[in-house]
Amino acid sequence: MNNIKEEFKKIEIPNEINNRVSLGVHQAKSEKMKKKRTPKWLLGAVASVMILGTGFTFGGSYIAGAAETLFNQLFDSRQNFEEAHLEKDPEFYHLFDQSLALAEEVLTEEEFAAYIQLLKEQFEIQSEIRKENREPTGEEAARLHRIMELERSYESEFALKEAQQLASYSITTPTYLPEGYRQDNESFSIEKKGEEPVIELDFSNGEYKFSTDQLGIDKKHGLEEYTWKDAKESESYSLNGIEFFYVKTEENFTGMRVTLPEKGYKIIMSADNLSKKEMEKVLLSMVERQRNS
Amino acid sequence: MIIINRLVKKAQEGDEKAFLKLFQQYQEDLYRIAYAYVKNQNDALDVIQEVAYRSFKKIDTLKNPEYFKTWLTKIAITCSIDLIRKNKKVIQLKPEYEEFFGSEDEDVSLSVTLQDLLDQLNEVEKSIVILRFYQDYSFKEIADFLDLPLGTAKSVLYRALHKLRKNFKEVRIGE
Repeated sequence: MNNIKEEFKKIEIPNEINNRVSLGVHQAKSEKMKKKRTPKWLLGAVASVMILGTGFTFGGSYIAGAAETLFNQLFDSRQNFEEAHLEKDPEFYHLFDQSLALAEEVLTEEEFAAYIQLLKEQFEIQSEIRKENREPTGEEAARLHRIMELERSYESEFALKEAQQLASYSITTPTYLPEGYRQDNESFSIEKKGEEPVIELDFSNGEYKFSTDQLGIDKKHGLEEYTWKDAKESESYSLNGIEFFYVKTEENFTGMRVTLPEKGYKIIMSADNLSKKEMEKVLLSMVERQRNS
Repeated sequence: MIIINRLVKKAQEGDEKAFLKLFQQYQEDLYRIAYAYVKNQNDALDVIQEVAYRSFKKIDTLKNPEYFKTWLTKIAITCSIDLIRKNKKVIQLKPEYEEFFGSEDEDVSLSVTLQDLLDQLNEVEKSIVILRFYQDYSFKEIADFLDLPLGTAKSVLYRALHKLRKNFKEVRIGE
């Protein structure tokens, strides 16, 4: 044993760290925005099967049990999968199993078969690349990118259901959308072990985007902690008896937060190009549906 | 399924929020690594800001999302050394490759104070000690990371431990 880790932990983390990280990212972002963007197909083409944040506990074993079989049916054996993907965390498999069980429950038989086929193809390509310890070819990268796009279209069918199993509050979606906007994506993420998911919905009208993130009332959102702190305009107010907060940053991005302590959650909205009134309407449509239920 | 590559992908498409989520997970470790080199809070904060800047600017060059942490660690070490060199002229000590202390056994027991670690080691030694004992990288990974031959990585580590040994209460190599 050595005590180097303990000694390192003695280095105190200053509170200013978050601001400095935020500053660095802002600086890079503003420089990036001046440049032409890299073509999408070049980006993020290689998939990994790393799970972000674990710590789920599964009370019942029925999902894990049933899906363990599913997993084995689909991917030969876990040992092969572990060797190919270097993924040994048992919680990864729990989560994977749960996803598969939900996919089977929610998707039609044909959809489920197509989804599994995509996963298999993805893992086969990735295993090949790993085995040969090399970068993917352009063709592989493009195919992986396409596969994952298609997978996401299926996963969005059950993402909210999956997230609801992990959240203590009721997940909500807007019943009102500004003209021309439609939903692009719904997903969830868990940042740290044991934390509740953040439910992320993305919308766009082809030119501009907005997004909503629903999260536990006590959890700090990255936007609140960093970007909003230095906003040039901010306002706290109450609307229909609900607590609202509005900000406008120097780059003219707008943000809004609605807080519902009695329901145990808040929603953080950010928009490229929406009026304050429109943002309020979207958020009210999300929270009032639940308040009235 | 929750996968990190979604966040990396979002960040690569310019999503600042996604990038911050990813970065936040590692920022404390990165700060401590920076501190080990620059030895004061103000400079370590400068390094962290620079790491955030460089990594977000260059994230579209990251081909394998699973190496995100390694990639950030590398940027943090580079930024720290850049800052030291900017602040003062430092003559870099060339590792003496032929020097080799102790056995190749990786089970190394030692007791070291933070101050020893900060003050006694040169940049290369510090990098290897941090990567081996703080970040738990293997010798092979360290050698790849720092672009050193495997034997060199080992010999530099053992030399670092030997240097520190003078001040240790207890050093046992190869037990």
